[in-house]
Formats: sequence, structure tokens, C-alpha cells
Amino acid sequence: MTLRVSIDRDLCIGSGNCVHLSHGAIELDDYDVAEVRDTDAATPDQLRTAQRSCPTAAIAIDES
Amino acid sequence: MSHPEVRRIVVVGGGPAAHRCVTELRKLGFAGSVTMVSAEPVPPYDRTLLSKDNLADGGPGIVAMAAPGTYESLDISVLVGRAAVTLDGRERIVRLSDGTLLEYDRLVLAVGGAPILPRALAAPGVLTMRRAEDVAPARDALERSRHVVVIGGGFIGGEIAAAATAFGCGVSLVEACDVPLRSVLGPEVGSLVADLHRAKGVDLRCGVPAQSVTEDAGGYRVVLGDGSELRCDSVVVGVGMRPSTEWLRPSGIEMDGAIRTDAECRTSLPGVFAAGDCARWWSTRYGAYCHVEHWDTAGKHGAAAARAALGRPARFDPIPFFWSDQYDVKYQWAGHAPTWDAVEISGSGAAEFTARYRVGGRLAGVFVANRPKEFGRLRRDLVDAAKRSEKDDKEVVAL
Repeated sequence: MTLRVSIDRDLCIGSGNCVHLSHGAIELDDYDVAEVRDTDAATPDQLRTAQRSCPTAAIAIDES
Repeated sequence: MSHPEVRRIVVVGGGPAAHRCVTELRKLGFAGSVTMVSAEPVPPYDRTLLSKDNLADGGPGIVAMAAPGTYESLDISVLVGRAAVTLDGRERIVRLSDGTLLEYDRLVLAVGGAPILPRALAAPGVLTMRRAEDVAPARDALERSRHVVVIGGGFIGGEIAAAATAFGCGVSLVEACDVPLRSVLGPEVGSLVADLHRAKGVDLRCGVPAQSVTEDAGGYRVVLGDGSELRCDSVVVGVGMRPSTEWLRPSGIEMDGAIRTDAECRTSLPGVFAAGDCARWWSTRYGAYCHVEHWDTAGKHGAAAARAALGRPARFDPIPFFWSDQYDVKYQWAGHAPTWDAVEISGSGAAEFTARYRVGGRLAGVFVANRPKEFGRLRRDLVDAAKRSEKDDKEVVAL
């Protein structure tokens, strides 16, 4: 199952939590704002943890 | 390198500040030796999950901050399970608990802290929450307990109370002040935090300190300042942390409860820098020494210390930020407002509100419950205002 992950870049503050929680599926860009790189790099559970743990609730996951 | 004499950098610590520091050193192109020393048995991991996911549902287990092989591929030497025990700032040597001597050209202290556990509360089996090894005993306790007493109504105490109710435990939350988080958020917002705990069925005891904890056959007995007693199956204490800096005292490094640094992470000892929960840094923006125990701030502080250690511009002047997940509420704070003139609260109740803290009419801090979008906007306002005032400062200097 592939989840569709999106990031509200206005909410992101570059804490970097999602980077280690998503095992590289999400990375920080040159401005320290998160962007989705490769959703397949993480398991669905890892992605959900990254979403839940985002301190600014900037990550959305579409499971449909 | 601009500083060819810097060949060996030692980073003491095993949290986000240490992790970000060592990785940043390589990102900046430092090719000398980098050694990270941690008293904990495992390399840096996500501590924020401990009192949240790890405790609540076992979560994903302890989550390392670096993917397997990261430190090796960056040629960063990681020594775990060893505490630093002495610092000789003149000879530039750190001695570890196993006798290892580490010479350094630059030293970054990111030693973090340990939970405060007052002696009167330290009965056998009383729990605290800071390290990975604290999670399993706390989970066991919540699983088998009918009633839990949490001492300390701050953010950690609140998260543990929330986790305990999720386990179906009855929870008493003991807070010495008249409302939780009064010193951080003020009485009005503290009352909203109290309302949330009560709405979730927590027996909140405010305005009475916990005086003693004793173990007896039936579990624990917690005696409060007004003489009342609580009986329970387990006790968790979350009354704050203390920087782990006792070992540094003989080195003569300047401390005032934490390690003092200037605005660029420099301590009073040459070649020695400090970052994270163990540091108290000079903030040019706020005109005060700042000490915050925030995950996000610690990581960024570690990166600044890496720049400082390499002689690069490293002014560290963040707008403090933290968050806390309790029950179904995400709290978020941004700003620096040790005191304020007015607090404006808007919202629908304890589970959804915005509080603006003003100093002289100016927005100094913002605290929200379940309003991430408004938080994002207000936080940007704080950042923009800070940038504008920095620009003004520069223009003043130019004049």
C-alpha cells in the first residue's frame, strides 16, 4: 500500500522530527522546510508516526 | 579549513544537540576526528516519543535519530555507555568513566540533564520519565495499575497523566501551584489546562505539594501538604530536570545552574562550547540569559555549536518553540515571555483556544490548543517581527 503524503509548507518549522521518523521518506530542503522525497522509503506505520509526531501538524496522509 | 589547528572535536552528550552537532560538523566539511560520547547505552534517539507514543501504545519502539550506518559513513566515532567524569580545560582532556582519556582541540558539552527526584518522594519503584530505559517500567506500571499518582502538573506530568488514562488507570495529578503551568502560562491558561485534565476524568489536586511517598504492602501512599493521603499502585514524578553538570564543577567552567555561554555557544573555558538543555546562553534579542528545555531548540543549538567550534559565525538566537500532545489535544508554544502585561484568550474551551501573550502591546508569545494553522501564522508573525527588529539594530549600528 502506498500512502499519499503531503506537507503544508506554511506550517512546517523545520524541526526535522519527520526526517528521522520517516527514514528519509521526508527530507528538509535547503530552507529547512520539509518535503516529500520518497514515500516508499518508509513503512506506512513509520509515516503515520512521523505524521502524528509532527510538532506543528504539518503532515497529512491520504490513505484512500 | 580556516582553523587548521582544529583536528579533534569531542562532543559529550547523547541527545538531539549532540546528534545535530556531530552531523553538522561533517556537513560543514570538517575532516578531522569527531567523537561523540554518551552516558546512555544507545546512540541519540527521539526522546519526545517516550512520554507520548512509546508510553501510550508501545509505538514504534525507541526511534534512533540516525539511520543505521549513518555515523560510520560519516566517520563519527560513537562511544556509548560511558559518562564523562572529569574535564581538564588547561590540558584539554576529558576523562570517561571507563578511564578513557580523550584529547580535544574543541569540546562541545551537550550533556543534557536528569529528572529531579526529591528524596522524600524517592520510594523504591517510583518512576521518572526522561530516558529510553524509563519507558518499559512505566508501561508495565500503567498496565498493571488501577490507580496512578502523577506528581508535577507540567508538560511531562500532563502527558503521563494522559497516557495513564488511555490505559484505563484512575489518575491523580498533584500540582503544588494553584493551577498547572502557572509560572509558564499564567493563571488563566493554566485553568484551561486544568479544565482539560478534569474533563478527561483526572483527579487534579492543585495548590498542595506532595510531601512524601512511601511504599507499603498495598502499593504506595502519597501524603500531600494539606495532610491528605492518596493510595495508588504506582507513582510517576515529573517535577523538572537538572543539568548533568556536577562533574564539571572542578573544571572551573562558569555555571549558574547550567553552563553559561555567550551568544555564540562559547563557555568561559577556551575551546569549550555548550548547547542544549545543559546550557544557558546569552540572547541578544531578549537581552537575557536563556535556558529552555525544548527538543527543537536543543537540536538547533547543537548545529550552532558545530559552527562555533569551527570558528564560523554561530549566533544562536532562536524563538523558543515546543509542543505537547495530551489526550486528543496538541498544545504548541512559540516565543519568549517570562513575564507579560496581558494575555488574550480566544477559543471554544479547554480543547481549542489561542492565547496571545503581550508585553507593552507587542506579541511576545503564543500558546494554542488544537489550532495548528493559527499557530503557524502567529509564529511567523513572531519570526517576522524579530527579523525586523534585527534589521533595525543593524541600521542603528550603521548610523
